[in-house]
Amino acid sequence: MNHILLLEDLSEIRAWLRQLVHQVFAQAQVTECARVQDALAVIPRQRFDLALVDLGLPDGSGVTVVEALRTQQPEAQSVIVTIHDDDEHLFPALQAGAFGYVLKEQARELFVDQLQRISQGEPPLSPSIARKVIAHFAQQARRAPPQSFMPDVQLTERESEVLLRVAKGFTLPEIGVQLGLSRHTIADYVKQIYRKLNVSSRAEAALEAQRLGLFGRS
Amino acid sequence: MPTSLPQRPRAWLPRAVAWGSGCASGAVQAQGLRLNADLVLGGVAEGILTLLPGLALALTLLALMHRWERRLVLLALAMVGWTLMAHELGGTWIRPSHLQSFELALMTTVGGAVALLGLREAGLQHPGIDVLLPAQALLLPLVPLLGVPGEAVRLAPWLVLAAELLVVTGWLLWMRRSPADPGWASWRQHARIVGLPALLLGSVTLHTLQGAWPSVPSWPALTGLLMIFQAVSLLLAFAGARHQLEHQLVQMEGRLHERLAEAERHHQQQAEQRLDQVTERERKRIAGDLHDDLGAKLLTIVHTSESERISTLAREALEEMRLSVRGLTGKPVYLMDAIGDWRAEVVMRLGQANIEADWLPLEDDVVHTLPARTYVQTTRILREAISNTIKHSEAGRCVVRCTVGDGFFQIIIQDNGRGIPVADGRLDRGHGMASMKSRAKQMQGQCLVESGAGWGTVIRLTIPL
Repeated sequence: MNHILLLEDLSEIRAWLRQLVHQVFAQAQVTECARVQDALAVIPRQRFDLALVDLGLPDGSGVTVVEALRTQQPEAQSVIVTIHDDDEHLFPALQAGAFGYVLKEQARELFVDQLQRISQGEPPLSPSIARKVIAHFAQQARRAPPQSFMPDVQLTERESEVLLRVAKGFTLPEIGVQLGLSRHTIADYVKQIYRKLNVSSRAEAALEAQRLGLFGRS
Repeated sequence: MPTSLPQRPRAWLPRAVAWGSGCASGAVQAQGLRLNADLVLGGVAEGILTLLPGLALALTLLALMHRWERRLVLLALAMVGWTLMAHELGGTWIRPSHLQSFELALMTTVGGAVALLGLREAGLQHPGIDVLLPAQALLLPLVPLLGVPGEAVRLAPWLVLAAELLVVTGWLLWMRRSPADPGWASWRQHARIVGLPALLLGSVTLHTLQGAWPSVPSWPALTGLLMIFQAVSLLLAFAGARHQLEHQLVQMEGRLHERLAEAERHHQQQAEQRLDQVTERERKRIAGDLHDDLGAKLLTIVHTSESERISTLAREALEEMRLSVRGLTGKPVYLMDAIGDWRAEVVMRLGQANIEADWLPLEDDVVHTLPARTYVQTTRILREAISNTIKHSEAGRCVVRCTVGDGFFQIIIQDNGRGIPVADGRLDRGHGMASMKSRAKQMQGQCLVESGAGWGTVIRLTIPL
């Protein structure tokens, strides 16, 4: 993690976050932004490995920045840093391609731990987000016949199983024990779930755009 | 009376051959039996003809009362004309030289009225005929008054009228040669609106022809009977229309009520929808304000305060704030979802505190929902209980069980810690027991705490569903 984008409008919190980022990634070069426009201006000029993005910013939503990173730098990881823990706020960011989220008010050690896990490919997944993901895929299956979607956008049986258990309130390590899987395998499932959520959301958005005639009628 | 004019057989009444051949004057000298029968028939015929003026009066009054039933006047007119003709009233006080004109005038009136009525009944109104028939009722009687001699001049008006009546009858029968729909009811209707007027027209035409050639048979009493039938038919139609009108009125009233009810429902629905929208917008605004202002300040306190205690308080305040915002939605939460949220949070917190968590989820999927307020309050009680376990109990293990029973929901939280110390004979208030209990009370539930030094603590929270 050499280049890290930090998007946060409150200066004290930004300072606190910078400190934590340096604690986790000692060598990292941190680019700080306070507004969505600043971040959007920086993204084409600078390559990032990780971006910590706040959602509620004075000039818009961090989701815009997540989308810009997803299209311009697909290998960059976006992590939402927010005080919103409700799926109403988090789900659109995850659909846009964010790879997990961390709540800002958490104690330093917890925050560092979660940031480390995410950067190592172990994003968190809350029951309410899991339920939203389940509903999203169920709705998509109802709306379109399966063959019209790319096969790698469908959840596998195991991924669905993991989602269902998370929704019931089981933690990821517990599910690993229940299914006889390693911590890394479970983490891989969660990563796949996030990836498929993003891909299928974009496919859905494209279909919707086509339906609205944004790309003209063929 | 000029003898040169051949007279129609004036044998209509009692001694008449009312039903039989009016032409066969020889029949008057029939045998006694026949005469008796003729007398009976003659009585009936007279009865029929006596009915006509009264019916005509009734029809006229009805027509005066209901403008759309004006055609009844036509039949009344025909009836009056027919009565005058049958009783040969003209013969007693009209000069013989004018008798021909008088009879023609009566006949054209009767014929015209019957023809117009027949056409109206069959729905074949024609503006030309409407003018022509009344006009000739005025013109034809003038012909004999011109005083032009000759058989042709005498015959002409009768024949013209008969021809007209025949044409009208023919047109009527041709245009309405079959009923609109198959079926018995339709044929009956057809007989009433086409057959009856045609018969009446035919009967009157015969009588007209008799005016020209006395040898033509005619049955005046039968014509009178047909007129009565026609009157009954018209009155029945009138009554039917009236009945239908009332029925339609009732139906329309019913429909109006339905519409009104629907409109009211729609309006109410819209108002509710609007209220929902306004509520939702307001909730989002309040939530946004809380997050942006209060949340940001609390967050700054969390991360800048030197004091760990203040940081923790601010963090708890932030969590409280989020929960309150969630409660603002007012949307009910599925009990299964709520348990999922609670379990994930409790297991994670206990795990961070190195306390072994044992929470078996519900066996069956339950379909109950919790009101938003209940969800929020239960979350607070649960958080407080787990906080107590983490902060004060020194427990190594915490067991949580949820059960859904008959109309209630229960959570039992049990730890194996050192229990809550008893002060002044009561459980320590400092551990938030009072607030947990009062929150439970707000939900019409109860929160029981059992604890003893060295025995751990059991909290039983019961909430009605």
